[in-house]
Amino acid sequence: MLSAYRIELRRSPLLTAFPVMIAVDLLVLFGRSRYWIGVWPEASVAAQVVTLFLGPVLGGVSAWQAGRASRAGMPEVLLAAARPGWRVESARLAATLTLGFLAYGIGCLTAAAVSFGEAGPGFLWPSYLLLGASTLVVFASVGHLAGRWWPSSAFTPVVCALSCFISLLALPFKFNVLAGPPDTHLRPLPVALRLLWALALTVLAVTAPPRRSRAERELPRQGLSRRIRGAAITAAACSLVALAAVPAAGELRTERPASGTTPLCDRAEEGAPRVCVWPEHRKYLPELVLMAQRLGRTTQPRAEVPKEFDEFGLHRTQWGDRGFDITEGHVRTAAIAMAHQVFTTSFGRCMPPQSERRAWQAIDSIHLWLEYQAMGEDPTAADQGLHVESVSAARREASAAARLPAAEQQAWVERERAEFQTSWCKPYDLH
Amino acid sequence: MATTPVARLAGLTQGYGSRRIIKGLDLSIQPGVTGLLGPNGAGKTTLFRTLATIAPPRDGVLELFGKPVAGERDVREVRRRIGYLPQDFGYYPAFSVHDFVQYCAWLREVPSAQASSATEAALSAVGLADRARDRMKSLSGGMLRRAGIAAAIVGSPSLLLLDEPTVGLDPAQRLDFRDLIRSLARAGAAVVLSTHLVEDVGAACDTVLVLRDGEVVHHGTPQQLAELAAPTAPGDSPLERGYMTVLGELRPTEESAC
Repeated sequence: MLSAYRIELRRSPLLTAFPVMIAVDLLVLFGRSRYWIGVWPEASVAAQVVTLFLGPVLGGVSAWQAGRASRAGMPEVLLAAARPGWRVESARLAATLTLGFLAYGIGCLTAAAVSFGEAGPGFLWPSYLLLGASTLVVFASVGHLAGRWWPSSAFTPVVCALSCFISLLALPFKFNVLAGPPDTHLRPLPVALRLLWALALTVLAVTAPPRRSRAERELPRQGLSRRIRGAAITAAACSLVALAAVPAAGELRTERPASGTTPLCDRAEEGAPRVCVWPEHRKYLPELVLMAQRLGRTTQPRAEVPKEFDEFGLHRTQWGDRGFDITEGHVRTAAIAMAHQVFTTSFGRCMPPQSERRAWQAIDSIHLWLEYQAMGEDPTAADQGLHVESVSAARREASAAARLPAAEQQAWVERERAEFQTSWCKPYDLH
Repeated sequence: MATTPVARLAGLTQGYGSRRIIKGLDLSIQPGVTGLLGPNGAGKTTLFRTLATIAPPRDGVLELFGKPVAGERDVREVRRRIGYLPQDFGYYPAFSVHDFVQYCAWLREVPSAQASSATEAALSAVGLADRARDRMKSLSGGMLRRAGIAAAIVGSPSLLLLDEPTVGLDPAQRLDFRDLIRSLARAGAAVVLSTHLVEDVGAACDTVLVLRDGEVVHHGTPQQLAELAAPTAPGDSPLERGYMTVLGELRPTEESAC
């Protein structure tokens, strides 16, 4: 097997295209975003997202490779071979998969290498990598099967690659995930089903009988052995069952229980609020600690700052989760959640009547002002990239207030606070 | 002392769909070089496919190396000992000559420890050792045919089936080819070759078989075939005239071989 595998590897068109594949691989990895660097689950997802591109490429190349024997006029030599057909096909598919996995592996190792410094203990999450691997195997196997049955040199590979790409978008289930916040993880069942599906398709791709022309069908031929026929039928059945089971298995991601992990917590100084994050978000902790410290220092005397800010998912209750989240690497979203927590702890959950526009604006203004305090930077810089058009009046007010001397800011908060009645606010406690 | 035939066919019937190409063929193939002659459609390629175990017999018995070929295991076992060059042999254009022959060695399950040396020996035997690194697509027609022969003889098979092996070879290469198959036969192999060139049969074959409509119409030495020549039969040599005589064809335009 090794001899043919090595030859197939050396003569694979993927080998010629390998540098391009790596270049595109790295382009997808770093071109899409960079916030994943230093966060293991996000880095795993970023490495896995590459399979959205690699999968269709492998599907097309696999179809081309599988049809090569027919196009080259080799079937008669292969039919007379002592080596069983499934092993010939396996060597070919294995070579394609090896080069695909090599490209994938290089992407994964690059993601890991650039993450090591910031991410601290841990490594890429195997579940995400396995999900990407299943995508590669599924597409390469489907391509191989298609190439064996329709051995066109251009039509089948192109249709195959396009179909793989379209199926990523059109099928009622997902092959990949695009984000991997640490408060979620992959459910084992859908991943296992995808891996089973990939395995079944691989077995089917190498054991299925080749499609024969009408003239070929007339020629008597040694049939497939009972074992191989059995394997092909079982693999076909498993593929169909898995195809039905994958969408039925539900969402790929689920909430990650906090009980299985020890959060990373820190505070800037004695008396400052403590901030706890998932250990995978270690790189954000220093900035979050400073945000909590700024909130603790600058809020007006009437405002109550919680003793602890927790990241989303660390303290889930049956009523909800007040934790802050870090969306795509932006701590600004954490500032929003922290500000909201300070506001609700201080004033409760305020719900003025819809007609009380000024009251609503005051609530929004105080929220924004708290966010600016947390960010500790000029409001214009703090709002960069944020869509705050719906609260433009409140933003103008809060921005102007944030630039006032500290004492005037306190007075501004008092004035705004006076715009909504305490009766519109109810204590807000999730615990 | 009688030797065990390498291949024995008893009442063998073979065909495509409802068409019968070979009808109740009885035949023994002994070690040495056997030439297969016959007009187009006589059943030569079908006979090769049957001997190569690609197509199981519709009826009758096929014995190879003294044992009937029945189950999957038998087929695999005998295929390891058969080298086969089909009439339209295919090749992977991007493979190097060495890789192509080594790949064929792998297909025939030549032990991996021997595959490399067997490949080099086969390439030397056909005079392609110096082109081993060239891509198959860069070879001329004659060289391709020699690469095909190398692929068929790699690992020294006991039964070598060569369907039109000399097509595209120049006269010097044909002489080399004859030497090659003679040496393989001397080493104990049974070589069956079909050819359009009756002089190849006369020069290289110990036995000649003439097929017509799926039946053997002559089985003997080339000399015996030449002796059958009718004085009025067309042809430039006694062997050609003998061939035309056993076919019962006296028209000079009739094709002289398969």
